[in-house]
Amino acid sequence: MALDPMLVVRGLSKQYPDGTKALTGIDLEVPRGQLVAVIGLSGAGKSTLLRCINRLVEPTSGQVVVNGRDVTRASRRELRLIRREIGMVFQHFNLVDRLPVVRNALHGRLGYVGSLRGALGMFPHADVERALDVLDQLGLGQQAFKRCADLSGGQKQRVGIARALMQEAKLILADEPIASLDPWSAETIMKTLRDVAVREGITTVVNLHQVEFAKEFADRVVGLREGVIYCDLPAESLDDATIQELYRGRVPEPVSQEY
Amino acid sequence: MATLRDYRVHRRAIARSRLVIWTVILLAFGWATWGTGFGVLTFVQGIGGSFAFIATDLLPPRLEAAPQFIDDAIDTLLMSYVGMVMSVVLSLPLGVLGARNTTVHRLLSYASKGTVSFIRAAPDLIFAIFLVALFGIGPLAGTVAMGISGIGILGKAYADGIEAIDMQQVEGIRAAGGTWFQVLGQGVWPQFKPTFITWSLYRLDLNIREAAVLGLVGAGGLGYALITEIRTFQYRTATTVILMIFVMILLVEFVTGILRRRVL
Repeated sequence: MALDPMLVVRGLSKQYPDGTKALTGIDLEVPRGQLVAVIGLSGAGKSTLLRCINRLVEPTSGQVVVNGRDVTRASRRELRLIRREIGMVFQHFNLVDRLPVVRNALHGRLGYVGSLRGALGMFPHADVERALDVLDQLGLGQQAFKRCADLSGGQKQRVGIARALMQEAKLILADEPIASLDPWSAETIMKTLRDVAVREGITTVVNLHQVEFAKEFADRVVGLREGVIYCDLPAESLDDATIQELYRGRVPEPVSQEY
Repeated sequence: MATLRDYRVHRRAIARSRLVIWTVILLAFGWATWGTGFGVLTFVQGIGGSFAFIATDLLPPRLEAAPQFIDDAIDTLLMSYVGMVMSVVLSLPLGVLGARNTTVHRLLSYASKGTVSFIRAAPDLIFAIFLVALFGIGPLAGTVAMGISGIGILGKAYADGIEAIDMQQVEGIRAAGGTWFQVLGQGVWPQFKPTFITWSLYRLDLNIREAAVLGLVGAGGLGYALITEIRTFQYRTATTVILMIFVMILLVEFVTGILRRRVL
């Protein structure tokens, strides 16, 4: 069974109530342990694709299978069980600002603890120890008891990754994880995602704006244009012509060196 | 391209709508003044009379009467507190179910908000009149009246407060596989807590004020003491009671202020 792909998307379409066709007939298979970058213009459907995978957005038609389980047909309870194996990392971090860092990491355990205990934020000691350990590994050992609101963007995103790791995620979905970060933090976050993918064998799908980062860190690049897959190739074979066409000339021209 | 002519048309349209708005406001004011018999002259004449009444009948307060009302003051305080707790306990589920972003179903949200609005529509006094008939004269009727009428305020404040939270933070919890209850506890509550505390304590504040009015219908506490003194024309003693209510409000405001700073 280990040869099963981690993620299978078949004929996935999404039309929003206002009539916008965000995705049309997406087919995608991601083998275990692969790091896929999804690139494309804003509005190409990258975010919708990612959110359809864990059904934060309800697909209009098509099928999504994660780790052999049909997400699209799952009941609410089944969906929660599937979601706890899918870590999500957001552009705006989506951490609870008023809670301490360690608690935000522990939120990754919510799917594994009782509903009431989870609601009250009571987690087993073993989980707390692991959370502190994970935070330490991500360089956040000193910040564990600060409120998330007091962290920098790069630090917040590492808390987001810690939360996904606490979920023991088999699949990580990262929706523009570096779009709100400075270049240096962006580099760190991409490295962290890469390390995690390699070390823990976590399959990762990451939406990116920056083509350079996609080429540097991903195994494979999927280009979305107007809701359909325009290109799907190994990162090293992504050439400038394809990129130009994907962004249809909207990639800014290289800045002139003459001055 | 827009021309100067377009600009003038645009300005004129704005001027016209302003004219309509001001006409409506002034007409409404004129009607309301006429309807209530409000006149500047009678108002000014009245002021003179009021001052005379205050100076000769209400002042100076008979402060030595204060100790006999201590029990009533404590009654008012306890009534207000129990009333607040009752409102909070009943309003929390209504707020959560009423808020669009946390409700279980859209229809339940309407039902919940409808209930809260209905309660808000009836003044406390009405609840108190019914409850005095039910429980008899005394603090119990006042307490329950405040408890119920508080739902009208807190139910709305809670629902609005929950609707104002950042849903991205909630989405983070939901994506991790949290149950509805866990999403409430870990995603909604931490954000909603400051609003919750502020409004709940504000209600305690309001209750003390309202306790005075509820006294009118015999619902116990300082309010009842106040109306008794007024009925027996003991105006100077009544002034003492008013002062005591005032001091109590200040006291509660002071204490809740400290509490708020501590918790938030």
